[in-house]
Amino acid sequence: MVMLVFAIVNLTNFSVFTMPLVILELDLTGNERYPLMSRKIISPSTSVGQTSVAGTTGYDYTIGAQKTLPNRQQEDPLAAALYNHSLHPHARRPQVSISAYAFLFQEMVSLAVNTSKSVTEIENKLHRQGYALGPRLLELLNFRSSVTATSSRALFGKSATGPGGLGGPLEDSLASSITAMRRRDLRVLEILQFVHGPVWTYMFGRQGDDLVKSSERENEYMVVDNLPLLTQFIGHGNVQCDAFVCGIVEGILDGASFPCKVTAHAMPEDQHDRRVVYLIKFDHEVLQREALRF
Amino acid sequence: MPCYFAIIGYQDNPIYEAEFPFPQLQSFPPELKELNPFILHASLDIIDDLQWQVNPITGMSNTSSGGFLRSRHNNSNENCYLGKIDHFYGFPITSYLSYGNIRFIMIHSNGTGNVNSTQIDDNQVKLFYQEVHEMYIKALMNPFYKVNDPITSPVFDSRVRMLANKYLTK
Repeated sequence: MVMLVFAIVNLTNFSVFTMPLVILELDLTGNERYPLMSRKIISPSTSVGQTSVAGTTGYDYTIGAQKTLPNRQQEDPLAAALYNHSLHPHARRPQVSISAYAFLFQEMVSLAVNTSKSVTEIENKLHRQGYALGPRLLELLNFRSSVTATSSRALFGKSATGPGGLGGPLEDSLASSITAMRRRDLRVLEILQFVHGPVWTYMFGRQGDDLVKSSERENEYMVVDNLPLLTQFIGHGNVQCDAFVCGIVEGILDGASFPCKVTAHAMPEDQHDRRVVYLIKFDHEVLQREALRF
Repeated sequence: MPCYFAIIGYQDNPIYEAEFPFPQLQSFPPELKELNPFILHASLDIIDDLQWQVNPITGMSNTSSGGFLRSRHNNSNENCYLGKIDHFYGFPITSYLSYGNIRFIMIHSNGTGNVNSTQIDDNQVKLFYQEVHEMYIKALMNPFYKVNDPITSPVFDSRVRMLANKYLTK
């Protein structure tokens, strides 16, 4: 990763102690794979002898672990709304209108087009927007699939008055009714089936059309989509707008510790002239791990 | 028994830390309290190894390495909850892995200094981890939260402490 450090130096001061006024760090690769914590000075531990047990003010990593007591009453209702929502798939309307989404996607693409100088830059921007979604989908969909039918019945029996609304009691948490969490995916094939199955179903309402292993290279797999939902209103051009979906898939696989590169390729076939192949190229460490462990 | 709980991101950075002082605001002795983050990070290697085991809870029984550390456990087929992974002078350390490989780790202690009496109830601890996992996912759903950044929300903090009161108080 290339890091540039710009120092704007106070030139009027010619003393030896020329202090940089502003230090900007720019990440030239534009690669936000591993966002660093915003840099704040971590003071030496002041935790000993600290006896603040009143209300919590949230975790502060410059202080470290605190011992406070929970205060449910003083919660900001707006901030608590996020934590009161249920994660259950039926708690909210699971679908978004395709026309509304098309408008949003069109806006995303035109923003990327207007602020970019080259085709790769446009695709990179879309890719990055998708990438942020990946780890979230990975956690959410796996968690949801841990919720079994019986446990969800228990949930809706209790909160029938306001499913998914604000202010649901804490007892409605899904996790307490889960007896066994879904297993983490450890192998390449397992995680690819997860992408091909649940992820595709969540995003596009159906499974991917095919999941193929490359016959030429060991580390390449392909997910085939005959009719991509997001880009169905976008004409054939030299910009591959499916880079957004690539970003999502790459975010999921990276989040699950399967580092890879995902690219989209338009490959029309006789009946499906919009067919897109998502090429997943795993890093070699993934294959090495697989060979060592399993 | 006071517990030290932390969520560790994939760059081994702390995302969230808390100390649960119960019962009656009992806490770690000051000399140990400063050590807690170190103890916890020392067990990260074990987690890195267990992360890719097919059966992290039961699969260790026939291999000699670290098998004695494992708490006796039923033959469940899970690999999110790792159970007791390590101990530090009698303080058990339990761990849980989320699907995005975010590590949830906790040091249990009984606060009395009596080494042999620290027992952990796997079912309760597992439920605690699952609930915190759900809270973590909810925090993750916030579009303004970046993955692997510290979670500073007071609501999250307060909820986790409530869960600790619910499941870990004995």
